[in-house]
Amino acid sequence: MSSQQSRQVNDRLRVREESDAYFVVLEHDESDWIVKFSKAGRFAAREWAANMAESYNDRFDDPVVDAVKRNAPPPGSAGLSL
Amino acid sequence: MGESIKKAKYAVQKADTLVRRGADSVIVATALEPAENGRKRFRAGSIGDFPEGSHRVVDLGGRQLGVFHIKGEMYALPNICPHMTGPVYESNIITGSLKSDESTHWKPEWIHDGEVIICPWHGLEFHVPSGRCLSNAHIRMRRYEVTVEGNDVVVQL
Repeated sequence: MSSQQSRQVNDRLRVREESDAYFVVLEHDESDWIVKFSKAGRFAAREWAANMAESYNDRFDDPVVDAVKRNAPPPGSAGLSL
Repeated sequence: MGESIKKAKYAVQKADTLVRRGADSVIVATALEPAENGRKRFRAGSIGDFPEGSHRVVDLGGRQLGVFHIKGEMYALPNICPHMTGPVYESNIITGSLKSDESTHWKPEWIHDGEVIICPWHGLEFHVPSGRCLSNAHIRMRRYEVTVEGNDVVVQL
């Protein structure tokens, strides 16, 4: 065992839809899911899943964005909402 | 002061703040022979690396998981927040949460003591044993199979 800095997930992400949920999965293996967003009531499952995949892909594609986001908390979370 | 409020106050004092471990604290797992079903297996460390009530971020072949030892059980979940993909398990604190709704007659109730972790980016709470987000039960992280084989903590992807 050793220590080193690494990515959270070593692949871009995408969204896979099933009858009851949206899954955020690895781009190169859609059977390998990370998070499940269940379709229920008015919960915006698709939007949550898409936001997660897009957010991570932005970081994955741009090392500068990734480094900034990894090493500093978001300033006041302005503009971000749950 | 109610007992639940006391517990919550104690948890905050104990936690002090959302201390982050830092990305350089990730430990790297050793790949093992695949399982009979073909799934990848990794040695995350020895059981001594995961004392009761603790967790570590472990890199398993390019994927970070939070590996937890809570109340005698081992858990492994992806180190990526469903909200803005923050490194949720870099948080140094495992705590509980306050609940107050119709089921508690709107009285504060301390729940999931020692089973909740809080994302250091935006504060979303996750119940580790179930993988569920406390503020929205429709969001659930994947839970990976963890076994203790001899002295080794083994995770299957």
